[in-house]
Amino acid sequence: MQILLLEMKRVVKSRMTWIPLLVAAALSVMISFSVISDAQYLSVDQDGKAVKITGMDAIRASKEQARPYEGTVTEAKLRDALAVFQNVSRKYGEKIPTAEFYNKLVPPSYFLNMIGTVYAGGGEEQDALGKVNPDDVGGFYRRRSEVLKNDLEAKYPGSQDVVRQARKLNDKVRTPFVFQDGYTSDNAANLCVLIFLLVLIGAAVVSGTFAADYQNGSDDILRCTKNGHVKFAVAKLCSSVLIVLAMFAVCILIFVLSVDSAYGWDSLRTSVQVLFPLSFLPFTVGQAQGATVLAGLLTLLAAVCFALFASAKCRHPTTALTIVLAFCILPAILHSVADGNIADFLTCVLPTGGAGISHNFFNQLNQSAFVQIGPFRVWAPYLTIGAAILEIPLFFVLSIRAYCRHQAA
Amino acid sequence: MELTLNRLTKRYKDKTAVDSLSAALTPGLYGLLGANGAGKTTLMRMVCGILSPTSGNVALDGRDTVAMGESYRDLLGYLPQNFGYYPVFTAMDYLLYVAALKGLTKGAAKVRANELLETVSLQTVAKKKIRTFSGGMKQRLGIAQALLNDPKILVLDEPTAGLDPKERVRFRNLISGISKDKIVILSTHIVSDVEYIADAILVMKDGRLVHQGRPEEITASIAGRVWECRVGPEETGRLTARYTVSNLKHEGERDMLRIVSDGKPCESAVPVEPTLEDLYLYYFSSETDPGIPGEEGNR
Repeated sequence: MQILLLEMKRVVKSRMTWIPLLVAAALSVMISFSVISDAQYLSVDQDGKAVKITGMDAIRASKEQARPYEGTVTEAKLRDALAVFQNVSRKYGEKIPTAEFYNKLVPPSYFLNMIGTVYAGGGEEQDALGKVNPDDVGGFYRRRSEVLKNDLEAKYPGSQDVVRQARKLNDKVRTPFVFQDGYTSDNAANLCVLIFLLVLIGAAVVSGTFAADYQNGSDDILRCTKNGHVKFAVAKLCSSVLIVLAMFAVCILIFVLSVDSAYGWDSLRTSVQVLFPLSFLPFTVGQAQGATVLAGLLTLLAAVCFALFASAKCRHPTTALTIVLAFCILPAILHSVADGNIADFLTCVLPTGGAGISHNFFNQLNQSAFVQIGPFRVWAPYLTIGAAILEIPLFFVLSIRAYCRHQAA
Repeated sequence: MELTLNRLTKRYKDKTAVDSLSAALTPGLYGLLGANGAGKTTLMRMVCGILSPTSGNVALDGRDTVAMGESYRDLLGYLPQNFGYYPVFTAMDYLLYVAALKGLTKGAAKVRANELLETVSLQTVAKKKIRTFSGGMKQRLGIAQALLNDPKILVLDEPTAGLDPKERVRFRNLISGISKDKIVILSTHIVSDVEYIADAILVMKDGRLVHQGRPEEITASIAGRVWECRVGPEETGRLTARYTVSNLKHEGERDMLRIVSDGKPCESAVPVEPTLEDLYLYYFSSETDPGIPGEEGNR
């Protein structure tokens, strides 16, 4: 314990640690601020001119406008939303006046999106909204389950296992859905960006843990001491992990407290399906946010443990840092340039698989991606979390082993 | 207590740094002499367990030190050639940190750290960052950390590097004073560091132990190969070019030369009692001055 405390004291005192930690805190404040300040609400003034409101005013105005649709998403509410759309469309065709658009079509936009997605039948959502008989919307929830099943069968032909897994989850989705205006998918996307940056910073900070000692020669003395092997390695690993965990906790708290307070804690009750109609995730957006944070934490720990392993193996901190950063961005590169099951598999199982900008855990949660492993197909979020849970102890132990087996140059 | 080096060998790709070296060390101060590249540092690293031998082993009282693990390291104090430290630490922070790793309790660590800072004359800068220290101060701190656990086996690799003459004398006295009941291995290529305090000298060359014994014993091995002569300036030039000259002193019109050579270098040369420095030059003149021609024949 004494070694751990002294090691933490040493690490925190180092500029190589506290400068990145300050950067991380500053980034979390900046991202949180931008999420709030970028909120927009568009309306028209008395002269019929479009007016843009931003920041907290926009969030408040949007909530006020969406109030009639908030609460349980009943099929009657969906029918009303569709009727509003069809009335406006019939009256104005494609040239909807700005005032009509903002006052009548924007408030039920989430509902129209749900109807459009479920009834599009492979065509344009906009067309579907014009064609659907409002009476048919009475069977929205049943229809949604059918569309979800058909989509999965089309995407994974012959794989009844996928359909069964998705249906099992979908059966747990609470219907009718709940809608409270506020939380948007942009909030989740920004949270994922923050998590990705924290993973990068965390992994970079710890990448010199062992390698820097090898390079400056201090390791030669330390490993000759009574506790200089396993106990010292464990203390170094634990102090690195604890410092990075503290960074993650502080930064995520800054983001969650400020953003969720601004957008309204009640909006976290919204069903995920209001944002992603064909998601079979049985969560509210608040629960999805919690799961994203938890997955981010596991990804961070897996990335940090991997970085520590690389550090214990490399003689130079620069080499370790290069390897660590390459691995941090590898899932994002694979996701954007490679296609197919192997790329999907690698993207999920790499230590930083749960963090990315376009490829991230929140997106995985709301997409129906299944990865083939031998005869099985596994839902991507399960694979990402499972891999991280395995990699944390694996790389932790490998780091200790690599440190103890290290030979002086 | 006996530390045995059993046919220790360390090979790198194309170089054998330590070649089947065997020795048995009992409590006492051992001066490990050798030119740069002789294998001293590699040997010391293997003794400390931070480098695995390619073959052979180190044993303490018959027990393999690798197998002993923690219990062996508990007896060990090590100052490497390049003393690496954490620049953010103060001298006191650093000693407390190393003391924790050496298994000292917090209270004992503070007492011991203060004692040692006083011993190495760093008590006035105990709260100063190590990065502000001069080379000599860092080296003294390195010596202090090696002594924290009152080691039974103390391995010091070039400990006097960076120390001024006064500090070197202080260091010699310190080491001499603490070497009782300890195995102290002190590597150096500064002969005077060990000449008067070492109980035994180990001479390494090309990874092998070419000589070991008490200073007077091993210097006796080159008896009759050290000469002194008084010659004129012209003769001085000729002799300096041809032989290993361990000392040259101008005495008026003539020069007094001390020459290490297998044969009598000139008519007026008389054999004198060899010193450890002469022995060092006898073995390492080629490494220290590769420009000397016909080095083998000159001995």
